[in-house]
Amino acid sequence: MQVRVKLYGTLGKGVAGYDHPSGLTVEVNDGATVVELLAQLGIPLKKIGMVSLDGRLAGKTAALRPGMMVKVFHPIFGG
Amino acid sequence: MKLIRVDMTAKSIQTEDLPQAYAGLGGRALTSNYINDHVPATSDPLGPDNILIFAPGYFSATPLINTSRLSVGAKSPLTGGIKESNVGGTVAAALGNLGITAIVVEGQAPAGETWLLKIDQDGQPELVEGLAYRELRTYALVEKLVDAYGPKNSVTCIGPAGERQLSAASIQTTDMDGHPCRAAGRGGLGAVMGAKGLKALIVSRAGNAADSLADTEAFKAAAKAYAKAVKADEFSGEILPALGSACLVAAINEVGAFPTRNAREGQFEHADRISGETMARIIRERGGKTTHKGCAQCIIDCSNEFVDKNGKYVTSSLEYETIWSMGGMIGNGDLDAIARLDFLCDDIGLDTISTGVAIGVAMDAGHKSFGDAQAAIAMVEEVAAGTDFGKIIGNGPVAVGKHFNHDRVPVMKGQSMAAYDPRAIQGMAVTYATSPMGGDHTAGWVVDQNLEAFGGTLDRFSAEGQVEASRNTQIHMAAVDSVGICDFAQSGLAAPGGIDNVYRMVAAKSGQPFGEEDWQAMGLRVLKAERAFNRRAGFTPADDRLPRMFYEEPLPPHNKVVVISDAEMENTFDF
Repeated sequence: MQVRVKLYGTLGKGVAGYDHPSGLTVEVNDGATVVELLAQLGIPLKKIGMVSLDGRLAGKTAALRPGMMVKVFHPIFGG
Repeated sequence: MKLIRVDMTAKSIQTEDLPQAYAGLGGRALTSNYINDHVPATSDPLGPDNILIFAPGYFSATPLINTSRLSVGAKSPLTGGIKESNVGGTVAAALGNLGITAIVVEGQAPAGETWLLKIDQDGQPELVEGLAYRELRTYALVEKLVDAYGPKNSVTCIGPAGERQLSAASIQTTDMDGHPCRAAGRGGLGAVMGAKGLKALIVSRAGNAADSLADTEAFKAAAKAYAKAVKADEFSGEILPALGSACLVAAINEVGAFPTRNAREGQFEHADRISGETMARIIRERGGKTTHKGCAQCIIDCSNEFVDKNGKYVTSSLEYETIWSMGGMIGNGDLDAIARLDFLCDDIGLDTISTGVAIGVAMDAGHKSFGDAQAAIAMVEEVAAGTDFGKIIGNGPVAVGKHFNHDRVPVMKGQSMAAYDPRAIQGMAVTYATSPMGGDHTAGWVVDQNLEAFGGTLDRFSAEGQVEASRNTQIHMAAVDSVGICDFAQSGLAAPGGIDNVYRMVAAKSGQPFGEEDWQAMGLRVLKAERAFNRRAGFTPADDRLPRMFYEEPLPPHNKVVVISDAEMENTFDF
């Protein structure tokens, strides 16, 4: 299945072909979780502050569904 | 450890040793304790009995990075309570390098007089008649002061808003490039400076008389470890240099906590147009600067220089709070207009947060449409022009609400909230309501506990744990604001052993043992002084509340209200 991914801050720098305005479409296994997607993208967990799935904050083990918008954010401090 | 006392009534100056009662204090600890001890709490904030005090942080002008933080204290004309507003730039390091621990400005020059306080490279202060600089906006003022006194000074000044004694007036100070773009914005302290008749401090940056350290080697070792941690941290080492604090726009908007159109909604549909990612791209494409050094001794470089389509300087530094107050809060998705509004506020000497919220309240009341950036610019220009409506905008959101008889005014103790809606992050409700400062995000920023670690270690929509988180953070921040470590360099504290390095540095400067209990005591001493002042000024527990809109109006998209009870608010501090 495919999900759409947006990477914020400097997270996109390490992902080949990432363009922030258009984001990325990623092929993942059916039933893949947030951490599995991050591992597939090669983004270490320590670089992550929060992840949203279709606009809702999600835990590490939340399951992805086809067509979801996954937004991945860096740690934050403010402000 | 000198204290310079300036009497604006008598035009006299005394330089004395810092009184023993304030030994070991700097920044907010010094300003708040001094104001609590010396200012009658019921006095007129714009009268001769109020005192304006400037104090660098305890670590300013030491080898520690990111410590050019100046605290400014007084009774606030905006809140009617005690106020500490702190700012970066170069002035704190400059004062520290002159061995000046505080400047205390007392009394009041007669109306119509304008004065400059000049401090030379030997730390000698002098009051200089400054009528020629009256009514100048800050950029023009600094240009003239450079012509008159040379470039090797730090200038801390007010614009027309401060001279008109408007309650949202800021005190501006110069950055590393000499732009007066750094603001002690909150609480209307520019109006207090204006009421004193003081237009600017001109402080030599050539001082060479910083306070000695009791144990220089121990200090340097801890400072080096601290700096290494700041550099190694993901946020301060990589994200802030690339995007600045604007990196927060997308994140806070995504979680529905980005107050939009006078906090009627928690998400702004044009957030992508004004996000840090977009801002950094535009700056790069136009030849402006990201990764820009705004403050002395900074190793983060979170500042930026925003330029127009022709590559010409517009403003520095475009920050998260301003992008919100002049963006989402007024329904404006035009980043160029936000940059223009940021510049105008700096130039006129206005707090961008209070001014943006004031405009938002005016738009909410139907004065102009949300999203009308040109109307917003015109409103800010009216402040400089001194029109009747300009005075209302310049006096902040409460004045605007009264003018339009409009009760949706998102303020706490008279000061507007910042860019985190408390309905979507309950801990911020506690901080906004209970901080002696009024609505203030830096007083106790508990956003990370509510969002990070994949969704927060606290339930952001529940009251559970929020009071404790806010209390602990407010005590901690009171200490941070006293030693004068930049908020963004707190990443050094989060590293293993990081806070111990801070204790070691306090001990190495003072020569006295210092540990966790002392850190807590420092923070508590500040808050106790501030709360004592506010009580004498007439504040009661009923003032530790939010406006009704936050309890009654569910905030889209999560449709939550503030659920912290009055009793829980009152349990935050038991002193």
